[in-house]
Amino acid sequence: MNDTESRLRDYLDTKAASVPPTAHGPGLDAELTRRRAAWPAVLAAAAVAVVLALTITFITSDPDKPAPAASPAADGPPQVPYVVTEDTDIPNMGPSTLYDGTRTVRLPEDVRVTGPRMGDGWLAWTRTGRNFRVGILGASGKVRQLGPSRADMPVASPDRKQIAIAHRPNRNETGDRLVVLDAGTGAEDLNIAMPRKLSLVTGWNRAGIWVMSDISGKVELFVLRAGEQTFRPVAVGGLTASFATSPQSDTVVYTTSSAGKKCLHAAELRNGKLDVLRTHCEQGVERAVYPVGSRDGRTMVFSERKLAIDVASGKTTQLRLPEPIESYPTPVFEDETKLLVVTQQWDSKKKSPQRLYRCDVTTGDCKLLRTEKDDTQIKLLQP
Amino acid sequence: MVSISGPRRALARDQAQTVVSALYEQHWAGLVRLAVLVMDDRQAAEDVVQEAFANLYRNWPLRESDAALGYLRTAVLNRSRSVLRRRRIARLYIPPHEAPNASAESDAVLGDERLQVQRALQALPTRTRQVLVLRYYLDLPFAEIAQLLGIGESSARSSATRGLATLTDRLKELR
Repeated sequence: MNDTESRLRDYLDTKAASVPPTAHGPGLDAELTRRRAAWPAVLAAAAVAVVLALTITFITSDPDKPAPAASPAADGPPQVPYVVTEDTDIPNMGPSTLYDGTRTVRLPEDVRVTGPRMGDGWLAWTRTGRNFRVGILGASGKVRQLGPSRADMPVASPDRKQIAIAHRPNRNETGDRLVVLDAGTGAEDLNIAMPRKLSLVTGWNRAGIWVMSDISGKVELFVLRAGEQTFRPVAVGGLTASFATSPQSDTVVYTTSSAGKKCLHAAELRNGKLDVLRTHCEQGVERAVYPVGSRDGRTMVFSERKLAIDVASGKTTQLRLPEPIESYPTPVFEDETKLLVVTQQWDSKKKSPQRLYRCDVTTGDCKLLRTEKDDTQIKLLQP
Repeated sequence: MVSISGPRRALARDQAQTVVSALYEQHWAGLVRLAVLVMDDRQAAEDVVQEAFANLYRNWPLRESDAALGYLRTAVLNRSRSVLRRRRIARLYIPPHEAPNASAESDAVLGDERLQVQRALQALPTRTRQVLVLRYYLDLPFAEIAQLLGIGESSARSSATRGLATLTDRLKELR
């Protein structure tokens, strides 16, 4: 290193130190409020978590599984709930309306519906100032709030009787808890420490509750089995933090990435490890690959390539769609073979209107169901 | 199937608040430092970083596979460049003695030797200054610098080489 380089480094380090590493910004509240949203801002400040390790009795079986609905007509209305958001300057932030069959609910500004249906309502998430809570949205548009504030990422149990949430009691990201709530009474059935800070509840299927952390690019996966109170790490090489569960099976679908190749895997948890049932890889996929699987775990979808893959046989079916699939929010299966997808063409920063299609994953046939207005977006929810 | 993807690479919009807030906590100070080194203006640096985070939230989840920090760095660098360009145009209409100056407190901390480097660095083109900051402050490889700035790797290398040579000449002149 020559003298100039040494002096340059010395100057840069000294100048940079004028901003202390402990300096905090003003937070994002004001910025986002100005743009209409009022979601809570920074997770800062410290406190000590209250440990409430309750007995776990969460249910992963599915005794009350509703009878499957008749297969939808090819061009009939969607059989899953969906939210249409207008004036979408910020995703999910404009005036929104929930549609579910004949029911229509205009959503209050502070309510997001995350799905699925629970009882006669829908799993939802609300925010008030800096607090955020989960609850059940009723047909009247009112939300019955459940559990503690500063709770997010609600995920329903396979039988829809319980809700798992990530409770973040402290603003400095410490002391996060996994809380399982009784959806009917709001009582806590379980309250245990998360395995890592900022862990995300990524799904709940018959194998258990799945939690993931992605800190500084290090992705870790954990599962909490039924009847246990400790998370078990599940090793997956090259995991990209894209992960989904099949509520009615033991199957999980996830994406790995290495050497320019992105792979979609369907796997089951066996003896504490993921036993891969099917892998499908594609080269040259630049965008994130969001895993999608049918609720019975028999089909997975590689949205970026418009491919449906039969997990048992490996047979791939090309979905005949004129535009790219809007890969997030993800497509949703209506039943074992009918997949609802939203498409949108992005071209030189201009977007075409979103279109909703129903595709048969066994034949690849797709039928246009509706076309949104330019500034409107549609978000499909789990049924 | 319930599908929720992870932060930074990809995550549900509904969870954007958690992830972007965490990124804000983790990277705000570092990004302000980066912007300060490029713009030499703390207030403008904070504004630029704030805008970058608001934009990240609006665009969450990112369409690229990785990249939240890269996105933020690129946004901060691009906005810094825009601010400097606007300021340069504005200065055409402002008498030199009214142009913004570094504070006396900042000068005292830096000392004469470092003030020379500061002046020499400020005289470089913005793009060259960005390359030098990314190389000698963040210690980034040229490939990553090229990616962040949207230029070729060879351009990043030659900018650094030319910038360092110019800096050496200017420092000799200032002695």
